[in-house]
Amino acid sequence: MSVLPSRSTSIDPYLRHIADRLPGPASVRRRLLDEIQDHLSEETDALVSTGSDPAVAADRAVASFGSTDAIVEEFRRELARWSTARSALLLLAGTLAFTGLWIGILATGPNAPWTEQHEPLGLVWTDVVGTLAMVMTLIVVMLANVFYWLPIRTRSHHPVVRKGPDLAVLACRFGIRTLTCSLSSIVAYVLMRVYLAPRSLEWLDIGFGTTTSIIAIVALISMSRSLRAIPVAIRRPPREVVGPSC
Amino acid sequence: MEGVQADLLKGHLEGLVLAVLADSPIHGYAIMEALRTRSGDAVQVEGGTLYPLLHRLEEAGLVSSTWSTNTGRKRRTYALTAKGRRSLEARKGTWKEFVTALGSIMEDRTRATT
Repeated sequence: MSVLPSRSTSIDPYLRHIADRLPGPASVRRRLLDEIQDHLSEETDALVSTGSDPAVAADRAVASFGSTDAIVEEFRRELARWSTARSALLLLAGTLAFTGLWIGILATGPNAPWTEQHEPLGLVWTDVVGTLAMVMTLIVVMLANVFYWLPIRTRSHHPVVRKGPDLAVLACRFGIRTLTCSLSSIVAYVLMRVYLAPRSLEWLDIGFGTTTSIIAIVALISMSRSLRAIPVAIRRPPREVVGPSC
Repeated sequence: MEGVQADLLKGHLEGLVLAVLADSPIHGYAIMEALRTRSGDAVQVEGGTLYPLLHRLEEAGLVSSTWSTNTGRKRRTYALTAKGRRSLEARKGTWKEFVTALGSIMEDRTRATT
């Protein structure tokens, strides 16, 4: 049976301090806190069973667990690793889906080469911007995945390969921006079609485009938030300070 | 970490945890105690290092974990997966080669200086 002392001991403030600063999803944080609490209770019990005072035992258990700074930092690093992997793969899947959507919209819309219609300038502009952004996103997101998985698969110690995860985070962040640009083009395109010529066939296209865009906006916001929480370790070397020439 | 220098342990801690879990599924505190007692107090890992590492091993599919309730307390127990067992065997092989290689260098060096 646990002999964990009352809530006034050092364990609760310690757990609260970690909880306030721990990054990551709530379920992962809850899990880690439950584990730390069990660990500290177990160690306190062990110390009390050897004759230690419960409050002193709790203090010692907390002290031996390590500093909250170190725990938070270590866990942040762990989460960053997996968060990058997930984000890179999600972004790739999202980009491929968007590319399909974009091609579908262009193929079924008035801009398709076989329709022989003169498309308005606004639609031409969104076509060009959207396509360029899509191509750029595909390249960047593929690079993000290569950067992330290369050091894991090759176990190479080459300086560039070792910086892979950091480069993957940067590529993902850039990919989110370019994908947002593609998304804006799709939204603009859909809105223009609603304004210009809402024919029966086009409503299917518009409905599909709008729904996908809303889902994509929510996904992009959450992905962007999780990536912003990841620190990137790449630092530029400090500039050499050169004194005034004599 | 105390006793053995932290930087010496750094690359081997995952293997050591897998080795401890090879006997039977246990929880975090018991893993730490097993590392300490089996190394004769030489390997003392801080909780702040162990739990993120367990999280990493689980994400990599090398260990699995389940929640249970023990005397009203929530407890997470870790067990080695089949992939973890294969990884442990591979690490053991690498470790033996490493020790043999280092041992022969150290022995030669000792002979050369004496």
